[in-house]
Amino acid sequence: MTTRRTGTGESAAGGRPVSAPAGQGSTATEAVPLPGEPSSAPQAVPSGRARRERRRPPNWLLRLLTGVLILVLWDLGARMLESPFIARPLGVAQAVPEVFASERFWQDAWATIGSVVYGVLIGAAAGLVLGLAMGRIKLVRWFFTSYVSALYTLPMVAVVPLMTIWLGYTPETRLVAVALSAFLPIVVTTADGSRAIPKEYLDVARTFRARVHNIWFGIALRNAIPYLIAGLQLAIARALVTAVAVEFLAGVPGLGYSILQQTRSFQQNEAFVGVIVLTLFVVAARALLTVARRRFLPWYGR
Amino acid sequence: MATERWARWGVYALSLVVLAVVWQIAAAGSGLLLASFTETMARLGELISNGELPEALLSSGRIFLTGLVLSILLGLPLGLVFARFPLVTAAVETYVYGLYAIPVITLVPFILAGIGFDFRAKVLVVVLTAIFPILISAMEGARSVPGRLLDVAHSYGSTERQLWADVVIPYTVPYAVTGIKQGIAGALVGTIIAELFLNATGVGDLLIRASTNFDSAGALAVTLVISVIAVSLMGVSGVVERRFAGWREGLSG
Repeated sequence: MTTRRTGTGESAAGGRPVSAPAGQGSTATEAVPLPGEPSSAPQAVPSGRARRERRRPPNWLLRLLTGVLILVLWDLGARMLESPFIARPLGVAQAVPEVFASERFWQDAWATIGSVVYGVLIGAAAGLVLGLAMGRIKLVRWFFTSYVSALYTLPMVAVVPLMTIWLGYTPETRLVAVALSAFLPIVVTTADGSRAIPKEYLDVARTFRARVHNIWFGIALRNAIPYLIAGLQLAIARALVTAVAVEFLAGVPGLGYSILQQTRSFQQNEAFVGVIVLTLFVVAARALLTVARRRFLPWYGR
Repeated sequence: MATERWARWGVYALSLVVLAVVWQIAAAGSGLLLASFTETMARLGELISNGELPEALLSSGRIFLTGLVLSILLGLPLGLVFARFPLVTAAVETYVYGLYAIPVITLVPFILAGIGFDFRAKVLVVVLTAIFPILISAMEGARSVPGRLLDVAHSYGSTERQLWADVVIPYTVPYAVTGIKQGIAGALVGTIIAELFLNATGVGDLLIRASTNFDSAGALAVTLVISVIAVSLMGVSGVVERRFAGWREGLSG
């Protein structure tokens, strides 16, 4: 039961817990959680110097300096390429107030983010049902397993052209594509979670003559919740990629489409604000899920 | 359990037959929009025999492989170095995870405007989608070497170089394998994104052309082939991963 609890343990050098935030160690398409930690408390590789507890600058200062360094490198890189078509840090910062003041931007942002939110909810609801059934009923699992794993592995972006043939160049296509790309990780994770029930639970349930619905909703569903949360974190990232892909390909209005248009009309800085907003959305949504898991399911670790 | 195995394979076979039948019936009722199973297979044969599909797969495969190899060559050493020096870890960790969170697809228009749509630009997209899982797994691996192992190595007077060669790197291998598997998945997405949204070449070109011509048989055929390739790649890397996972458990147990 290691739903991506990665890198527990303390860094030997700073004594600072080094923990990858749950869910962040997952790409849009990774199929399997990152390796779970070994049983014994792992440690950072202590270098000779660190072992001597040399005084070192505080972490926030290091982080700040790295941030500045990244921005400087970005700016230098843009200068070296000598292209006026590249966003620059200062330009992006200057563009923020103007972009945030425009109504169009918020409309676009909501179009994209809203479709991701609705799509993930629809996909998750449907995925939960199929996942639970696949986890609990062998015949259902056998029947759907090859389709689910094939579709789960196939990059959803490749299905977008097909979807535009079937559903046209509309916002509804985006919603369907988003829901489908959220559906698959939820099915896979919920099926895993509702299948991997400790045997004792089922024994106890049988002893007390639990009904099928007790086992499904009282045990299997509950056992699947942390898996579901991991699945949702994966689903949100995948869904956003799909939403933007539909906007690019079908010209559906939204933040992805407006990024495309702005980069074409040499408003790179304005466009980059959109990238930042979408990134923050993904980070915030995943963080919210992690917080919810820690708050409501504290026994599943950090 | 032998009967159960037969039952399972029976249901697998049944599910495929049901798909083909449902597909065929649905296609009969929907005209041009949904090509039937047989039409799709015929189109697939056509695409293979006229050389379009092999050529597209070759050109997309080149982008995929170059991007993946670059990501491994850059990601693994960077991850080890990041994890090895606590100062560096503290400095870069936040940014590694932050950059990983950026949806690479939103960067494609910038790459298009800034660099163009040649081979390099496409490889860059693939690297951006593949490098982070590899880098992060290497970081996690090197960082989670049990102190016990290091203590023993130190006790026996191992030098810095021996520590790396005999403890840190072997310990990281299973993590790296998992990272590479995720990197392959990322690179697949990156390749499709690059082939669709920089300029459409290779597989992307086939898909876009099929989509604009409402050639659903062509789009289905190409999507099927991509799916088969994706499943095989992930299947093979899953097998490799499981072999190394055993190794990892052996080490930490």
